[in-house]
Amino acid sequence: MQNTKIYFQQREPSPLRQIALHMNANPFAVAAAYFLAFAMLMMLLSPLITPFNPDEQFANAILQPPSWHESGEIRFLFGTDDLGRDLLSRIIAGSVYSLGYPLIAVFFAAVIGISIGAWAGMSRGVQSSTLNHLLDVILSIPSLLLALVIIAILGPSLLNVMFAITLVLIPQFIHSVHNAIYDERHKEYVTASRLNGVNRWYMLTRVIFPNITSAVVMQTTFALSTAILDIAALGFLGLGVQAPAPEWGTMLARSLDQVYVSPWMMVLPGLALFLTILSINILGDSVRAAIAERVRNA
Amino acid sequence: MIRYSFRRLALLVVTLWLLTVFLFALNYFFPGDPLTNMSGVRASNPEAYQQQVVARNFDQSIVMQYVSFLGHFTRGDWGQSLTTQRDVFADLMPLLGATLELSLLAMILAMVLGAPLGLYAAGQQRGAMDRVVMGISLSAYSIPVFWLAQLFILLFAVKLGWTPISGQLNPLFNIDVRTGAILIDILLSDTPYKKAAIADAINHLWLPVIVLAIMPATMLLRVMRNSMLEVLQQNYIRAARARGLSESRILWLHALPNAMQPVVRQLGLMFSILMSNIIVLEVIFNWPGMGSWLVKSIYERDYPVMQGGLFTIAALILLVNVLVELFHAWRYPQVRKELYAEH
Amino acid sequence: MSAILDIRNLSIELETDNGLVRVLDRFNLQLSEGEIHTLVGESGSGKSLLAKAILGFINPRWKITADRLWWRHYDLLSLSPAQRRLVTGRDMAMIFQDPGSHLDPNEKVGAQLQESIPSGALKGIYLKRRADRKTRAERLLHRVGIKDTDDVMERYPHELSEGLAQKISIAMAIAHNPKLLIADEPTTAMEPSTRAQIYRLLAKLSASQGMSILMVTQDLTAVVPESQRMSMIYCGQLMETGPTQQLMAEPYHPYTDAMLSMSLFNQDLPPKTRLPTLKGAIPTLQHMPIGCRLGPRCPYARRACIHQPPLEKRQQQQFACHYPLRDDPDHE
Repeated sequence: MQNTKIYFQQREPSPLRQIALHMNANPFAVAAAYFLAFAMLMMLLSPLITPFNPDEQFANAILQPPSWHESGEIRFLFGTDDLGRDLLSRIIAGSVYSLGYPLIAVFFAAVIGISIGAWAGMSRGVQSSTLNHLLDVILSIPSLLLALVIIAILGPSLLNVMFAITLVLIPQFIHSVHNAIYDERHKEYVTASRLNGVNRWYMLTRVIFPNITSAVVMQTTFALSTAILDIAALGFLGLGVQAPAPEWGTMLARSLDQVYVSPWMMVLPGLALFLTILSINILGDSVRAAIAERVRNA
Repeated sequence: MIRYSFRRLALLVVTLWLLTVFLFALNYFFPGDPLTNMSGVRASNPEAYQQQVVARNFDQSIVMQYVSFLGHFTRGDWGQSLTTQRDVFADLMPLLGATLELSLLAMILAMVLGAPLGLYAAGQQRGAMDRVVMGISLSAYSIPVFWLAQLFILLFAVKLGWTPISGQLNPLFNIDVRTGAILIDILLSDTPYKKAAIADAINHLWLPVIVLAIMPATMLLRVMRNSMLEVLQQNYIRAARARGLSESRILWLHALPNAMQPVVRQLGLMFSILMSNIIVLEVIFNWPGMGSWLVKSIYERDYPVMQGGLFTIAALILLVNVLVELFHAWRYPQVRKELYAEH
Repeated sequence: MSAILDIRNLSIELETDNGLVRVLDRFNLQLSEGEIHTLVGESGSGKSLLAKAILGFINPRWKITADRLWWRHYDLLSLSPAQRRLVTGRDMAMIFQDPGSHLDPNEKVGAQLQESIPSGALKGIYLKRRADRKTRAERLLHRVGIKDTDDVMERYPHELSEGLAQKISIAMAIAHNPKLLIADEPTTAMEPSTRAQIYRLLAKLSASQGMSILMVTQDLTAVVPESQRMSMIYCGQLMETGPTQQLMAEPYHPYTDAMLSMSLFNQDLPPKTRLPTLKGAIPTLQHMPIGCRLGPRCPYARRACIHQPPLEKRQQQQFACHYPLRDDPDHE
């Protein structure tokens, strides 16, 4: 059969695919993605895979060092804490609090914040500029401080922490989406489609939104690392998730008294926290770099 | 510029006013009696309580209550602590000094570390050292500050014994608290052991300052590197080369000032991140500052103290932000044009 | 008349994701002292790249080869980057399109202008030098036709109009009395009256100072009457070069002919005529035709055109075409 493809045709990959290709070329981003996938899997399966009940106290194995230590036991891979609870089980179970709950908080904050931000971005005039000034003010106050205030009103508990974190993240989403839409709204292609007579809903969802995806993705990763950090910080201060729950920040706070005798109690949960935040930040950073690269090449 | 400054300062005043409204509302949100939350006088002391009712217009409408609240607030009468019965405003000043000392030192250290390293990384663009520096900075940026503090304490204070675990100064040096900033207090005091006291204070200071500085320093590094690379691609740098200006002149007089612009813009954000880290760090290092005071007041449900701490930290952050913005607009005039052009 | 800028068979290859791409292919250019030479080519034809290669803004990813790239008695390719910058910085200057973005946004215009005055030219000690610098800057502004110098020097670049910014760019460019000024589409996106002002200014400067100007443009209508010679470039290949008037009147190369008929001056076309164009589009970098790159679009292309024609000389005109116009009765 005759070959009709005489000319070598170069096909440009789609924008999302270009970003994926670019990220694939970065080994750190790939490693971070795998680590995060692993952490999520661990979180989802945590009731099944913990070797022991995270709250079970082994009276005969208090402050047992990790198994690689010479006086460690293979039974407790990461050792035990001052009440004789298995550290590995607690870290696995803690991922629900330290990764799962932030994910939920970010999800709600994103849904609410993006809708309000989109609405504000599409409206104009005083309404939008007042909102902008107000948001600037709220955002200049650290999220942890705002969360502390809300906790002070409501009292420390898991539900209140979730509420506080969600509430604190919403303005960030509003701000970034509002700004992104505001920047796009004055570009020619938007004017062109307005002249084509599209309605506002179509304009928002089909014309503008695809162009602010990158801003939304970056804000989401940023919000996720903020949420994890804030929940852990609140737990650390004893104002977040309450004591027996194996939240990583709370575990760190508990290790404060024991750090001289059993440093692993502090190092291991902290490491889990650090690796999780690091991989989220690496992912966010490489998404940003990939988008920047794509824009530059275009 | 004058018009812009006025606008910005007016906005600051409005914001601070909004903050007082928020504080006033908080008294009703907090559990318990609003008047007690506001003044720190309990109803179990009927005489003083009745006095407060009259003084703070609590027998009148809520608007009058707010007006009276604002009056008391601006006069520096921030109520008394529920636990210690001491005046909040008087207590606050030395604590603010201690916090400011810590944050300023950390900020300076962050700039001294971050900016040159960022320039270095930009110079080595995509080279091995660039990757190393950027990798370290991203890791350092991701470390939860309370964990880092614990690690450092474990390493430097417990294992190596180079520095005390916590506190601001050995209590044996009997230094009167005046400003709260320990170095200044020692210099103002008339202790015969000034040198030893300063050495001891620095010995207490360096670890928290380093821990605090790491996060802003890494932020600064990244911003500096990226903006420098961006600026070096700009047309005016190429045009300056075409004019035959020397490379060092281009770098120091054109590239660097322009690359500093995003850095300056980020300073406000950096300061607010620093403040949120300082809250946690003061608890760990047992530093007698605003942060540990605020956290303690939340534990003890000491609402007047909580309000005082909240307002001070928030006002400080807002003030720093406005100052940074004013400086930014003064140094980089084309920003003002953008601001006026916005509708 | 000897050329001060002598370029023979200059090629520039770019490393791209699809391998080496030759964006400038064996290009020739000779420029004599005090001459205005216009280089005409469509966008993407490599003309800006040529300007950069002359000035030495060389990206490490470019591969530059030439039989000769001489500026006066310097062989630019054999100089070290530092020496080369010294020479080009002293003797050459460049102005750009979009002049606003070529000024440092955070410095006053006056300061930038004073900075570009070489310190070697100043006399006296510190304070006197400063004053001297200022008066020289003012004189430069006068020379480019700006009268209100004090006002202009106190402004920031974002407060200037495009025309004014371009005049200041020119003032900065001529601050050290360069022998060669490269003007890279200096008037694109400017209003016609401003455009005329800039061209008149450049021509005047050339005449009064013996400065050679290499005027890069994409549009035949922008060729100034003062221009002595011009060259046509298409996709990195030199099509035709010669004295401006002669070339415009009697082109040998089909490309020049097509460009002339496409630019609509002096044409009395009846209503509703189809406007003359070249068929097809400019090929992308990755898909350059072999041989004469105009080949696929040339109305007279024949089999021989898959080999690049050598440069042929007739009187003062040079062209690269196997079947030049006016040679062949078929063409008429």
